[in-house]
Amino acid sequence: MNFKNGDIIVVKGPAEIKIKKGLCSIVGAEFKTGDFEIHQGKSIPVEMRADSEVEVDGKFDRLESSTIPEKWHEIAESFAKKKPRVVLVLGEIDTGKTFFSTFLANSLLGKNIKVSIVDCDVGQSDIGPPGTLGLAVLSKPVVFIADEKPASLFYLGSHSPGLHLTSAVVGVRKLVDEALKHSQVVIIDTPGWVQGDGGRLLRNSEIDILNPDKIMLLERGRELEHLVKREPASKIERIRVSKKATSTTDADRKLLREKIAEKYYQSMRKLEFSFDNVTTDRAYLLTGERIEPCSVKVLWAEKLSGWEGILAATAKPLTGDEIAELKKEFSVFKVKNIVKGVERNMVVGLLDKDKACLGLGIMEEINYSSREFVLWCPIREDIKVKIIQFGSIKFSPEMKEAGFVEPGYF
Amino acid sequence: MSYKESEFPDLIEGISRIAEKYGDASLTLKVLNKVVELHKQIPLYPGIVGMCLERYLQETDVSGIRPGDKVVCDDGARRVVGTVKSSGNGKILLKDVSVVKKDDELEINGESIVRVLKFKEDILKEIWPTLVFKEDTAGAASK
Repeated sequence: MNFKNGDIIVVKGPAEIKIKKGLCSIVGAEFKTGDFEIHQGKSIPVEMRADSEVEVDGKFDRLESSTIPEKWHEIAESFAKKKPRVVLVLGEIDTGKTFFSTFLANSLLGKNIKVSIVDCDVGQSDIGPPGTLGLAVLSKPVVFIADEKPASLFYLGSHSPGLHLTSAVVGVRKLVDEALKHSQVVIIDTPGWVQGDGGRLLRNSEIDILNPDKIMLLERGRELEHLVKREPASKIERIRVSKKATSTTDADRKLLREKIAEKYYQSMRKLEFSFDNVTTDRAYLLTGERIEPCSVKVLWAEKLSGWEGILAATAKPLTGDEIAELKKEFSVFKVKNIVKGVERNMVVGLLDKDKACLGLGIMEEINYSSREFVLWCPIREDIKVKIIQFGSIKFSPEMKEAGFVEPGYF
Repeated sequence: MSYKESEFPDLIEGISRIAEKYGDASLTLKVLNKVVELHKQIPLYPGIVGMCLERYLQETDVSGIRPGDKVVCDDGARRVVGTVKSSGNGKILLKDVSVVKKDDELEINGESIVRVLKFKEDILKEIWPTLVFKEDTAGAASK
């Protein structure tokens, strides 16, 4: 299909775009040729900068004016001069934070500035699989940051930071530290949770721990002002949310997560990690002293620290009487019961000796008799894996979300 | 003031509101069982469990009741909790019924009792006495 210089279209996923001739501007980057896939729930504006031949396999609408406000260009120009080291992007859900972050990154890259994006939206991870915070160090312009290979990951263990607030703050700090080694400007794309106790706490904690040079507020009204009352005015840039910002349904979000997971977990292989060669993180399992109870049949048991009591892995849930027997035998108040099978399909982080996340794996089983974790994972550097980091989400072998593990269970 | 780092306190508040509103043990137990069931399903989202809880009990007409529905019926004199076996002609047949009857006083023959459970109202004092404060110093914010 032929378009004239100045034509603007917005393509709605699922769709594919093939730029064959001409010059197109997409999210602040210019492309003479290229193929782009747009997933369901996403849409992307394409602005013709010259007469162009573009094939669109999918639905698109023509627009009268650019989706990129002039103020965005002004901000990009200003940042190109001042090079703020850390830019925190805040906004409610569906306010175009990822689109803005990508635009800003592409614009700075166009001026030969080294840029990274840290994606903190674990529920809608663009960089890395669901449940992770991801870092992309950009070497070329991108249309969707989801297409970038993550330079570094931090496994949060959940689709939501709600019960993982501390880890969420640790994760963003670790990834920003890593990003600063490679980039002049680091853009942090945050989730839309900006209200209530959790939203206020998390966003304020990020501001405190990152001390960003610039805080971008993507606002419809004044819904983010409570987060920046403590900050100097010079740090704040306010952007009115575009009326063209599209909303994504919960079902579309789930579908997008599953698509990204499917892509990440393709080409998995089965690996066994001996209890003797790895340690666990975010788990009680393998952190105590091995014990062998006489009163009750168990698959594995450990004496934990102090009042934590003992841990007993069993084939079936312990009965009240069995718990009483174990308490008596070991003179403890608590018995933590891990039932075999709960671990199936649990997503775990695989860390090296320096606690860097090499990737994720899906647990097939914990084999207590052979003393091994049996996992499916896409990573190739399994020899480097020294730590199995437990999480709370499950993915089935068909790459469908498959429920949760209660935090603290293992 | 500080922020809550989890939505569990809101969930407890929701349970407390239901217990206060309906005020009988069998109904509150049913609600608690639902909380446990939902929590096992979505342990990462206590806030969503709380949202479900608020809408768990819904007012309905007798005509809106279908076999298999779990219902609470109040006829003014008593409250009945059960599962609808059949309904029609203005009548409802319930199964698995528990009837809550309120009496000001009741005398029970001690010999007929096979088991007694006593509520330990001062359980917090027994387990963790330093967390029990004088009422006049605890203030409204902790209630």
